[in-house]
Amino acid sequence: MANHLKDLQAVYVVGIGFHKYQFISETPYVVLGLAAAREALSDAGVDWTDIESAHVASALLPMAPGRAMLKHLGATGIPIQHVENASASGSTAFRNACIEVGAGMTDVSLAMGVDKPAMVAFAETQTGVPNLAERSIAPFTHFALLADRYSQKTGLSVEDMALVAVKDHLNASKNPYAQHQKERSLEKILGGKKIAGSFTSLQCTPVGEGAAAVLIASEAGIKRLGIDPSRVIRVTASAAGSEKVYDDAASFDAALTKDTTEDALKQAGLSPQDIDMVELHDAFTIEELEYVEAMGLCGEGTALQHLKEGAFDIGGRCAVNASGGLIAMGHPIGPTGIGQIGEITRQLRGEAGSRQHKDARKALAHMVGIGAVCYVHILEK
Amino acid sequence: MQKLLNPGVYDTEVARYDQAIAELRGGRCACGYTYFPMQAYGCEKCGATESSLTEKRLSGRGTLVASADVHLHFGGGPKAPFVVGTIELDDGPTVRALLAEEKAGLTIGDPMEAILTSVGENEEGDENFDLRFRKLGGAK
Repeated sequence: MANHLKDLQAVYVVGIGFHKYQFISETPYVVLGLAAAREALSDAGVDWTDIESAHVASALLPMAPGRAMLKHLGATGIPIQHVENASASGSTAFRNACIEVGAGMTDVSLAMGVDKPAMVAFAETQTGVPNLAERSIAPFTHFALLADRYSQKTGLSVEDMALVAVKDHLNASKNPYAQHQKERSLEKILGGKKIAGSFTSLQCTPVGEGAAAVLIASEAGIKRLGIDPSRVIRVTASAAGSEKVYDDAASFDAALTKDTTEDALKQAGLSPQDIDMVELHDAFTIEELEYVEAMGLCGEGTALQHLKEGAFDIGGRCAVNASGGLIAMGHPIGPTGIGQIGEITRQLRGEAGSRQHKDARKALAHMVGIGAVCYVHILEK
Repeated sequence: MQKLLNPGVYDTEVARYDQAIAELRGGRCACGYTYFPMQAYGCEKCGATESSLTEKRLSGRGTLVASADVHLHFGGGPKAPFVVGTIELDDGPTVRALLAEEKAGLTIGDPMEAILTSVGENEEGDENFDLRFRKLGGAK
């Protein structure tokens, strides 16, 4: 039988660091990445020379950005692995680092993401198979179609759907690493530039630049380096999957999310109701509604009701995107999945300040990526 | 001359293309899976190779699953604004296409049909026709 992460030696997040997510600037990616990596080292209280391997996620930078950046920490000669997996690049780098530490091949590894906005082609347009209108369907249009379907099926109004963005912008207003740090009224969100379907710009992720880093260690690594054991957070599940042929072809993102989340919860021995907080892939408002239902955090068609009751607020039953999520914290692509792990670690440590979710003990991180792939991790205090 | 803008994906048996009913060029695997567009690389459902895959003309009739006005677009295709829709074909596959309808007049579950419509002339002076979906029996 295949092993899961929990069957390997215990794996912990021991350090977190960020460079703020921001709109594209002249700042070289090296500056963004080094800021996040140095903050993670400082947070864990370890030296770069203690790190035995690095997993570097990016989806938009040119080939091999890792060593050109990390050499400025000292060229220690450690293995550097680059990871591209669309929006899930950071989540994939994190999973790979967890597996490496879990397998005992290293005691302390770095997983980080760094990216700057750039136009890249999607390989799906170069398969040699012609298609009907896919080049007319940008990601925001794909999700606008899902939003239309969900709204018509459940009677959701345009205003209702925008409440997701109101919550996320409020959360991000308390997050110093977020690209958007302003509380926005429902009127402000609805009044923004029209994109596709019912989406206005503030209901869509602002793809920008930034970096996030986490350090992963075994118990042996924690002891050897004298890392404060009260601030380490265990990773209890890592699940990954890719799109299959579904009966309901239009809802493949939600179907893939459902399967991958079920796998992760089973690995950790938890039910959806045990989860205190979730960071999920909400590049567009509709995604949060579909995914909280697909994950089993609430019943089908009831996400709005729970959202309106405050169940997904910081302090609610299960805080969803306490960081501000992709909509408001931002989505620099490579860093995003790592940033979710950083936010969850900060929350489970009880160090999230004004956006602290009370009694957070069990948390789930979720990313989907074009392709489509899905990654879910569970962290527990 | 009448020209199809994307002849690998659709076709018609009607001589005059303007507003002609269109068929979609899909495929069928020996395992029973019907798909769109046609490809012979291998079956997405079962992995069967080229010998098991045959082209199958799919009816352009289907049911509207969703639609959206697109106000902003980049990366190829037409210039915004335009209207797109998701259609579950009567023959099985779900496709996404440009619509020849205003979004306001559409409800999910509407019966739809694929037609050809003129999208202007190419450099040689041929008239290009592209596929759009409209409500079944929609205005000519």
